[in-house]
Amino acid sequence: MQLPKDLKYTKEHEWARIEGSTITVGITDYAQDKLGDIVFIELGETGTQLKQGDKLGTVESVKSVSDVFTPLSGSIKEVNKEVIDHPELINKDPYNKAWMVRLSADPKGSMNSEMAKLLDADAYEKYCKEAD
Amino acid sequence: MHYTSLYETHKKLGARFMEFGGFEMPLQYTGIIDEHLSVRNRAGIFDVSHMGEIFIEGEDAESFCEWLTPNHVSRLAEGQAEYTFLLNERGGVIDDMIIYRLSGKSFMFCVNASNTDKDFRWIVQNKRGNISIDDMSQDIGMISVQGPLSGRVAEPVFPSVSRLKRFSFDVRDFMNKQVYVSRTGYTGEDGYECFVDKSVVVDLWNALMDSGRTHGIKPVGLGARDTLRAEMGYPLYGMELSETMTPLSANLGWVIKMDKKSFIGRDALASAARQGISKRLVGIIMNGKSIPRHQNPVLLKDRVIGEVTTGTYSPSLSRGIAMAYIDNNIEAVDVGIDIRSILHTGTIVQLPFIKK
Repeated sequence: MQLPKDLKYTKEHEWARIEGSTITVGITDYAQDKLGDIVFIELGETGTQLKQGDKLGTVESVKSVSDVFTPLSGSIKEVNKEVIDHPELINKDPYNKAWMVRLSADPKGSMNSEMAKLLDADAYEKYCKEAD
Repeated sequence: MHYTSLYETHKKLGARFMEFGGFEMPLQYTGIIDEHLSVRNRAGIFDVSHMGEIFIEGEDAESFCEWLTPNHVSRLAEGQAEYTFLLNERGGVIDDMIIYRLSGKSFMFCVNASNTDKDFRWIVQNKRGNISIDDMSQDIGMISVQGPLSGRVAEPVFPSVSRLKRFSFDVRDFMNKQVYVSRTGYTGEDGYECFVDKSVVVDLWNALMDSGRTHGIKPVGLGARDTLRAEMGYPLYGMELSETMTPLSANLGWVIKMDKKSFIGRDALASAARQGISKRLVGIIMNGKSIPRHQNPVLLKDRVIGEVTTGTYSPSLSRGIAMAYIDNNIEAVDVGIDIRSILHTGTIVQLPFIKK
């Protein structure tokens, strides 16, 4: 299982890459492996304001439907059209090509207190091992 | 939880498991789409040992089976098989199954795993005449090889087996055990199903995998088994078939032979046929990329006209497809499906979704 050290993770199996006030979000290698072949993805629209834990979209495999939640608060500033057209990218490259949305962090937001609720790579790996 | 004799084999092949019909069964190995396309284009091998096998033998076996099931039984020759049902008195489906004529006086029923116990009780409860009824499901393993190259896979193990006609079977020998090899399947492709003593089922799996290697054979789990049968519009018990629906609504009236004077459920079906059915089973292909799911409502304008029984992604069509029961008086082909509270459009099509 791939787990880049520079990302933050949630117990719902999303990842967040934080670069200044831009937050890139996707689902983890563990999640894509559990879901199997991903064939359809729906994401919120640009401009949508989301609070930490709000639903960001859904991911569907052949057999199942799963919600994706935002790891941090922010507004959607960019949606990855390529992953919508080619959902199988999530299975192939969950941390790079298959990023789902970019969020602008809420300027007056509480990013630090929200960050404290996220897991680093080691803690997330431990969490997944316990779940198996 | 029950395990088939091939459980350890599946583990070694990297299977992911699911519970089905009380058995821990492989859901997938490499991935549902890959396995599905392997069966459509080359060959796939399935462990279907969870299926039940019930044997009916004795002087009165033929007349009993004729009474118990709605399809013609006396017209089956030794070595022939057919699709049929166990029906209740209301014409509802207790189970769907394949009946195999083993000899003049003996038959095998291949039934759904989750229904085996119920079926056995029903058969015993309706017993007539001089017959014995034996549930041999615990002793028999079942392997299915499906796909356009399945004949080439099976031939080295069972020479000349591809001479068999569709819905015929042979009694063969494998490692000194009897095997019934039947040209049947649940995928829409050419294929063979093998019933064998469970002591040699792992050896048979390995023999078929070895002979299939040059043909690109892949192990296939229940995930792809479901997408393969859905593309063909084949019903699955518990989804399209139940004790409260008759086969007439499921486009399966061809199985019911009303020229037979009596069989369980005949009176109810005769009256249902006179009154006409209220719901019918249709296929729906989605216009967009959304995927319908079990129990999604089907709409015409704002009105609910039916419900999805099977909804999935079709790997052959790269689209969402559904089977649904809709009001029989609906003639429209453009319908909506409410998928998690959002309306998506679809088109009613003739089943099967893909023509073979």
